[in-house]
Amino acid sequence: MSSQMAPSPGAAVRFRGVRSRWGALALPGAAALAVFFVVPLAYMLVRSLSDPSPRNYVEVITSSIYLKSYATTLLVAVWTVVVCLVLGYPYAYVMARSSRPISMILGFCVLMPFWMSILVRTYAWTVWLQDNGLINTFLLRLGLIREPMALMGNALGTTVGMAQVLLPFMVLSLVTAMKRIDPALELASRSLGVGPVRTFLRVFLPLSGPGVFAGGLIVFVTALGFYLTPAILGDPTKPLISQLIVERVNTLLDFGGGGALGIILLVLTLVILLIGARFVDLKEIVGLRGES
Amino acid sequence: MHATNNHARVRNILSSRPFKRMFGAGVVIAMGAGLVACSSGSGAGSASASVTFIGGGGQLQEAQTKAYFSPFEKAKSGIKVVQDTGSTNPAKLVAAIQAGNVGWDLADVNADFGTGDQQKLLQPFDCAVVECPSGESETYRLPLHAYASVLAYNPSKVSGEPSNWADFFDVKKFPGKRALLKEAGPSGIFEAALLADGVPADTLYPLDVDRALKKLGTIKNSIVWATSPTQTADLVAGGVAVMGNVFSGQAYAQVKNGGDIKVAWDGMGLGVDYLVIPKGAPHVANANKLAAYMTDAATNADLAKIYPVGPGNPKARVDKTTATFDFLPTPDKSSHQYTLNGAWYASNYSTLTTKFQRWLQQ
Repeated sequence: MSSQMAPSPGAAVRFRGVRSRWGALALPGAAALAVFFVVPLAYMLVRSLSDPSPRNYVEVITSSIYLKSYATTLLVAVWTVVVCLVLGYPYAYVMARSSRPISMILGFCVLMPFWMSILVRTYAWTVWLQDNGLINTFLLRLGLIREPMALMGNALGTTVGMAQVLLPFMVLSLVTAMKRIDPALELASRSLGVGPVRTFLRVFLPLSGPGVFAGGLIVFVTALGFYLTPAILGDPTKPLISQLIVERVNTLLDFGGGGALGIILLVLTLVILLIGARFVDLKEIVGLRGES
Repeated sequence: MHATNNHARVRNILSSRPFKRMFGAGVVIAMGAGLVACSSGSGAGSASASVTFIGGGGQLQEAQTKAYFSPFEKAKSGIKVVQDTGSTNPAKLVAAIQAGNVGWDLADVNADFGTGDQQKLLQPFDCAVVECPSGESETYRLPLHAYASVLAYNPSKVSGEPSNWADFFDVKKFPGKRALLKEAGPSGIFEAALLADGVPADTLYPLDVDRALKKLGTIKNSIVWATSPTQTADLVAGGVAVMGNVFSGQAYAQVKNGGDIKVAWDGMGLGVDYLVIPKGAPHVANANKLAAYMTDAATNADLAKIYPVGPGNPKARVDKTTATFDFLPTPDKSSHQYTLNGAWYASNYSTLTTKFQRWLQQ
């Protein structure tokens, strides 16, 4: 499983030599990140403390509006992880355990939404979910319901929309972990007289744990910053923090306050990543450790 | 082993003469292209024969191009109008002006931008070139066009015919959802609530926000929130809501597309878009010339012929035969009309937003 074979000392030296030259190739990317990400971020931090003063943070922390919104944001992220896991786990299992062509088709299907704009996908959901949308019209025609059900404009709409966008991250994390599980282990368990359900629960499920945690963490952290989906499908009475940041900056022109909200979200995310790091090897998520 | 061989091969290629020469040539070409791009960019920006206009984009700006920019370019012998979009996002303007890096000369902004302290971000108009509003020191903003925030309803979905804001808030007489723009801004929802609650149109401002929210609370469960003005009209025309608070221009667009929507003009809120010159604009003189053309009594109403907004210049006349006339916010259409007070919004956004958010989350 661990395919990182220790190279001979000589090879290592040579490898490093090559790599240091190749390192130059990362320079344009690193420079772009520094200029377009690190500098603005630092500027935002300074501005959140100085425009007009660090009181920005006090205002945010003592306001029930923002505290509630952070809580909603965390809750919606948890729900999104749950939905992604419930939908993604069986899918990933089939993908990891089926023949190559089928696995590739399934992989293609899961990646397909990636090639479509989030805006388009989210508006497409309104066609299904709104009061006179496809689902409600269908159920009304069948006489199963008398009033249209509220399928969007609430947490359900947000979760459905966000889960669709984030499902590929979950599935890909799970598949990577599941493919590392040696099928011989399950065969061994079965040959020792253990039933299929117990084999799954005692052998496969625990071994897929890293994938579950990795997928869960990446979905959760990404979900914290969603703006478009909750703005279009979500509950207007329970805005996510990104919506309040946009309001703060765009309507109130309060760059300092908006910056403070953003920095708090960033810190929250980093704390969650740190806690997550106790359960997940973060290197796995950023792709530093994989099958070479 | 295999990998090491590959690395060695790649290393050989990288250090080979042809590669180095190719790479060098590539860098030179890239730098050359960069220089060309830079010079052409600054060329367009610094040439005195251009003016950069930033508008709200979409159909409005397309119509402005036809009504104002093309004829201006022809009339003013060679001042080219360069266009950008996004002026309805004032944060973008403010950020650029504060950073001292303004690429625009003239901006089309909402009524809530450019009053009070924000005038520090603007360059005043030259009253020798443009026609400044008489008796006003307001040379920082020129009224460009007017639109109306109105009650619109779906005639085939609503029972009866709602005619004013009191009907809008009467969910017993007119059952069904109400579409409103979810924004603590000058879209007219607070004014509508107060008018329905019996506040006279001429004493709306300063808005009694608590009273407005209390009134809105009586129909809270019947509200469908929209995230854009287009969506509000869409919700009504599509029948998701039986009525809504929409902008007259959006209602016109729906009717053009065969949408099922009618306007009740009573209690219309008149909104005005303004032209401003951002401080630090590179071509102030040309901006004044273009602004003069757009707001002139003779040409200001040209836009109304192709897009359903009224002229901002009170001296400009619209013909009753214009195609958009039925959707123009003309005074004869409405009793109890009022003007959306952008300056009030600008100075009360902070409390208004907080109260609105708190009310939403209740």
